[in-house]
Amino acid sequence: MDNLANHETRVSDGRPADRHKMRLLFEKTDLARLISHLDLMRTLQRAFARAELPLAFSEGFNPHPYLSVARPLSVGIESRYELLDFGLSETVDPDALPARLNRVLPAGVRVRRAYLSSEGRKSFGDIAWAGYEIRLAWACPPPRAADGLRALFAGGPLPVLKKSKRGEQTVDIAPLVRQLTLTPEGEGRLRADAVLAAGVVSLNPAHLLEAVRRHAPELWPDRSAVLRVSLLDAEGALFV
Amino acid sequence: MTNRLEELLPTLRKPARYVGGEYNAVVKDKNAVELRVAFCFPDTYEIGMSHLGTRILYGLMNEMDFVWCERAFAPWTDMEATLRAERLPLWALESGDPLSAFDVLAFTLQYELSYTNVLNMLDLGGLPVRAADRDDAMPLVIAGGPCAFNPEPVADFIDLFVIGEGEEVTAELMELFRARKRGAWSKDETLRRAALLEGVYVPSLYTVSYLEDGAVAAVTPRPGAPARVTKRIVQDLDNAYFPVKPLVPNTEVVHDRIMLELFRGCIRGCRFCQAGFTTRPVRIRSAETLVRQGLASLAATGYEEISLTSLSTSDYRPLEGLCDALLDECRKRRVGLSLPSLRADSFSRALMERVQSVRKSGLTFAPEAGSARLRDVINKNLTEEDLMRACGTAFEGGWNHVKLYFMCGLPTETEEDLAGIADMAHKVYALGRATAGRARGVGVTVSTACFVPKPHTPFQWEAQDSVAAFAEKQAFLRARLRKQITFRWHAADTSFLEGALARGDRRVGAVVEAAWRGGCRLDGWSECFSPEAWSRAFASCGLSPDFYAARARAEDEVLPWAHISAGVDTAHLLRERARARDGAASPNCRESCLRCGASRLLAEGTRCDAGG
Repeated sequence: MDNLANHETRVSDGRPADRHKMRLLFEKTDLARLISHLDLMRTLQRAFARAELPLAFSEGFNPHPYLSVARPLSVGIESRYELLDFGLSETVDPDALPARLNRVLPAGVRVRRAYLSSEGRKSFGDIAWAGYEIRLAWACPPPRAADGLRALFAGGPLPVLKKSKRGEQTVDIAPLVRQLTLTPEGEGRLRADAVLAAGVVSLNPAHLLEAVRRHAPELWPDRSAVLRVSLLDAEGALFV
Repeated sequence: MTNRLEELLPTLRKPARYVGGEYNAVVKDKNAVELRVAFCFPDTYEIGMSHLGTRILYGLMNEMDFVWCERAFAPWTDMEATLRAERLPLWALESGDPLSAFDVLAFTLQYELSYTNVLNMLDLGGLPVRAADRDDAMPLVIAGGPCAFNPEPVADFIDLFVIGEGEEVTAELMELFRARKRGAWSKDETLRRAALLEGVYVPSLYTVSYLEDGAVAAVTPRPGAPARVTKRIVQDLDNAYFPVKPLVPNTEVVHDRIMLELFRGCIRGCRFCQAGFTTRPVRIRSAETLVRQGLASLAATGYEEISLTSLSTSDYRPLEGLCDALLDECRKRRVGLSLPSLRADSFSRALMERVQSVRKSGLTFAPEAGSARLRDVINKNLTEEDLMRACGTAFEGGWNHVKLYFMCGLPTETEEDLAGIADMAHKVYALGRATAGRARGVGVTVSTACFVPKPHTPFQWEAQDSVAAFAEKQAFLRARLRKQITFRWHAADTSFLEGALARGDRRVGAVVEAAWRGGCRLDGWSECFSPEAWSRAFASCGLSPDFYAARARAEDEVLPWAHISAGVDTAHLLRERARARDGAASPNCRESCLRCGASRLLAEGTRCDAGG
């Protein structure tokens, strides 16, 4: 997921007035992790319509709503920390928004907070890192798996093959991992708390696992599940 | 669904279609209902979720307190491979329970090329595909939909068919199935009782015998079963159940919009059109009801588009008023209005302005045939002037692209008729260039389908063209059309198989099973369709598709669907066939009632709404 900034749906004209620009913090968990980014945008747009919240539309021949999700997730990854920027064509009390939307959202999509994004709030371009909880499980746990993984990510360069629409390229992912903490969670299970690049250059958690497959195949887990827990700015502070 | 499958889902194509959880999906407590139904659509989620009938019956059954109706769809090939490799059963989306856990599996038969998917879904659900092999403890398998008007090719697999419209008889069947559970009736007893309901066909209660030449000799009912099963209809469409809280898929489907149903039946009587005969008599829904249903659906879904559906939307008398009433709300909500199935002879400036007032959709007209002579044969009742006027209005109104839909292989078709298709396309293109000027690019698409003679139509006795004949006609047309015209052509081999299955008899069931065992499924998808595998299946059963598709029937032949009545008299079909042979069009039902017989289906005191 390189150049994620390009995936954001932005329009240059017809932006809503500042007082109507809002930001939403929401979750996308359980079966909703299978909803793709494009489908999520449509799903959210319809939820706004059901909640009778009039989205601000762009002008022009083919008007579309001003709706932008920060750092779209890959299909299959859950998140407790998704941000949506949008505009309304009228003033709405932000505190009333979560309840209004949650009544009309499909299973697994839940709004946690809404706020006006007028007073000097940073734009999504200032997001630099994302926090993940990655759960790993082995049917036959390899000995000292945590130590092995710690060693793998503590050392030097970690070349991984990344596939994109423009072809394949080998990238050293080591500089894209800001933090990786491993905690045992019972027999054959580990939790990895990771902070990965999510700025102009970004790292999909799948590539962490790819690094394991490539450089320490004996530690390759039988099962893994990924949950995004935060978006952070360049200093590592929570991006809100 | 198992944890294992949940892990595999992200690796499959479009996984969101396999998990449910959509807005307006109905989830009930399975311990609090008496009857569990899985509505099975034998094609992909994207196709099935676009089908209005599925929305209606899903909503209708779930309105009943004692029923929980869920949904199941045909899995794509990657999902099927996963299910088989992991030995996991096909499940219903709402509960995740396997199909074998249900009381009733209800299939809708929309298209002949989905028959192998029915078998595949039963098998993936852990059930024997043949009705005779399913015992008292297994789900009853029922089916309905347009293909049930000739149920014979799938009669071996289905326990009972519903003929005609499902709203009323489905409710009656649910009551019967509940009584079965309470009374612990055997499957046989349940089917015997179901056969007494109007519009229910239990194939195991009928024996089919054959003549030496392979034609049907007789279809003989067992004592207690009716000699002829007549279709059911909704008597009062205006007060019939309509789902105003349809499911909103989380992933894009083919028709992802609100569908309002203006009327059933059709006044036109196009002789090739099965729906035009099997959905009679005409019954309309009032504009007031439609507006109410439209607004309620918008509020409950948040959809961006409303489609006004019927077999011929411009024949709805209060259409302009309906559009105006809906457009008020549509503009406020930025919702588009689309009007498929417009006839070229009624496409007016007034109508055009209404369709394009919010969003401009594509425009398709269906002359069906390239010459006035052949249009009279098929009773299309459309002149070239009508078409040119409609296209002119469209080009003047800002449309740049017009699609023209034709059929090849119609009865009595000659090379001249085919050449007429090209001539017509060229005239429309020239008109577009003249109207739109050079600044705007003008596009004309010619799309041709291969004619498939269908049961219960005046052409049910006709021979279908061979695949080779279709190919020749395609080549002729391709050579004839200038390169500025985009030419699309429906594959001849799938249309020919559709023809063989559409008019098949009960022996064709063995072919369907052999084809499925030979790997056929998702036959309607070109990337999955294997004509060779179907040829092998026919050969292995000692049958030929030509016998069913390419053979003209004598008018006194017992047709495999002779014991199924769509309410239209065979005498009417024969009269229309004779007029077709004479090249004579018939008036539409509004101009003059042709006494087709369908109004006998109406309760006393009501009449066919086609009348003037």
